Amino acid sequence: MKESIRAYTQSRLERAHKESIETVTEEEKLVAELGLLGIRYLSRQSPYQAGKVRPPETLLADLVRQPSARVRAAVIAVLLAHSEYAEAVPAALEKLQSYERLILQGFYMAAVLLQQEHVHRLRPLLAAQWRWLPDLFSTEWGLPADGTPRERLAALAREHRRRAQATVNWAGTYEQVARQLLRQWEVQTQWNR
Amino acid sequence: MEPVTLDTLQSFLQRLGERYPSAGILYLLGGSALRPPTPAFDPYSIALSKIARGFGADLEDVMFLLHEGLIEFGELERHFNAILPDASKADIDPTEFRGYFEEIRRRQK
Repeated sequence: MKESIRAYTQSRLERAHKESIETVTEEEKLVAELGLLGIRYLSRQSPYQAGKVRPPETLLADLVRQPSARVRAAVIAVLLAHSEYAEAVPAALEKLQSYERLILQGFYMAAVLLQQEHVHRLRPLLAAQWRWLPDLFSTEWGLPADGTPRERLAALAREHRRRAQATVNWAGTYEQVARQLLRQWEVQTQWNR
Repeated sequence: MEPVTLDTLQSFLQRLGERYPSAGILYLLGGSALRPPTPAFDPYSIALSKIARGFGADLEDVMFLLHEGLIEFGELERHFNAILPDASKADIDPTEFRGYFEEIRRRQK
């Protein structure tokens, strides 16, 4: 009798676990994969654990397609954390529709400028992984060549607003990603001391 | 859109608390007082705070409150018009504030 109860309980648990994995949303899977990349500031809705991260161009494209602005903007965090993902941007753009390409290009340039703005905090945290992101779109977006990163971020935000035809605080949106990522990493560093 | 559960509400409030460590600011921006039996927060104050900041995720949060029926657009507009003249006292650019509010109106249609 005890054995049958144990077997029944075990089978229910396994089924519940399987069901919980099957019902995990794409957003939740992406957020879990971001965790594997060291980006953990986004809140989780389930205990789902990702086994691996999808290929860079797919990850970038899938993030940009998300309905949630927080998750879309995490593209900036990916690029700040893994500048090698810049090489996957052209392939990711090919996977995207026109409006989505606009988002990826805008967020890519935001990452380029945020990296310059926060270089003194990012560089020590990334250590050997540190690499400058190449400037891929500033000519195409008509961004000024001169000025501080903050001034150029403001120019990017104005152009982003014009192109997206959405009155959003784009500069604040970009900065918030960098702030959250840096805060998460700096807290982690303190804990690990 | 997922339904509001206790967990999602707690998660929302936690994120809100992280962004706005001083709860008093929320109430001032909203221009409306908490009234019993309203439990812990005024959704109009939250919505107006988010519109004032205007990040992409903030505007989505306001649309969520509208879609879930937690706030009503006409009432939100009434609060907005009431506090707009004092926006600069709270270090909020009135033109930007108006722009983000109009963005909500556009998304609402």
